[in-house]
Amino acid sequence: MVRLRDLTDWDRQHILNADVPTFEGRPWTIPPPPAERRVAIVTTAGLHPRGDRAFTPGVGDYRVIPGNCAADELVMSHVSSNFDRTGFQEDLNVVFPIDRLHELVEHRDIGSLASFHYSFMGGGTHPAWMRESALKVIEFLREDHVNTVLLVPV
Amino acid sequence: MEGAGLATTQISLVREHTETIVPSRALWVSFPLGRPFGVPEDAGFQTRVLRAALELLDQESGPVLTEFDEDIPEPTAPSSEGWACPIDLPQPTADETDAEANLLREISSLQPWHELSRNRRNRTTVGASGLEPESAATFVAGFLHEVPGSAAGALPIEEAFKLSVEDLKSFYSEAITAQPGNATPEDIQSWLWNETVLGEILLVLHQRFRNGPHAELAALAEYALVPRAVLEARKLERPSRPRWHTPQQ
Repeated sequence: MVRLRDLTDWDRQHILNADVPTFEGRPWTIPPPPAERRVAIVTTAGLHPRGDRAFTPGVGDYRVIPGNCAADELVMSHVSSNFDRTGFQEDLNVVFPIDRLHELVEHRDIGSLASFHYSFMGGGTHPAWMRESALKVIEFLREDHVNTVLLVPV
Repeated sequence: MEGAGLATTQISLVREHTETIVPSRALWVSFPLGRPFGVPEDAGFQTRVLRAALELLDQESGPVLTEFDEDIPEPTAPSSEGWACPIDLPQPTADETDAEANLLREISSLQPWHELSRNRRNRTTVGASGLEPESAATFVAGFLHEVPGSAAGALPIEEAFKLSVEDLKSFYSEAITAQPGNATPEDIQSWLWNETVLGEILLVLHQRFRNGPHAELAALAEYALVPRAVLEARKLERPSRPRWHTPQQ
């Protein structure tokens, strides 16, 4: 588990030494009622359809995951060797909870899912280098009438 | 996103980072890195995590950082002796003349279990490199003799190598988790790095790349080839601080 006290000294120092960004201001958007929420996933797990370009450390770009992309089509090209991939290999939803979100739509706990979801690769890439890509993704999300975003690290 | 009118909620895996970033809404979970929704093939658990994250959207003000109130259940031990790989694999060997043949034999031994995994799960995560496992194995084992001048798909050689390695690791762990038993991620990692030809080859290449003339392969070996926990367990030299790659844009 990711409690720093449970990690080895080396892993703990690695995490504590990371250059974590800070932000000015605290923007706060009130979402619509649950039944009107249109939800997209934005993940930093380095996921993409099998035929798409693999991620390269240091670039900060993104990949599009169509909402109807089959689980068998999604692969991971994250650069890090220091997180567990076996959960993802056993069940996509451990990293990308697309089936669980579909169930919430069926139960009318949320309104709908985005037509497209988005993936970044968080390893070896400073978050600041993702800014331009993030701004493009925001445009696409708004075009897709998304009003709620689930951000998922790996 | 919040500034652009999109309401966000997120999973936090490293609470200390989230406390520094201060996002609008975050649910900290105690799960291992790589498992933001906790437990594979447990839809109920995953849904509880998801609902808890989405419920933060109903808070009237923020920022909000809360804690998910469940840990991942402890695995049930398969026996008092612990988990052991039930497949009879070739013995790992440092004999480099036979490394490729041994690796291909190992893959062949795992193939039926990988097919079982694929049929059972209706998916595989192998394929980011674009190579079949046997081709990826030949490509990776070839580095024991010389660094190839180029790779398929016009990828830089270190990227093609890394993708091939991850594909092979995925193939191995998908195959082994198709087995009955309660192998934990730590069991699988220990097996792969200590009991397989693949692990043996990668550890040899790790040392060779680190001390070799190819700068990008040296960087790969330094930071992204062998897990830190494996290096630490083997008392191998390891990097002292995180490294950002040079931006390419």
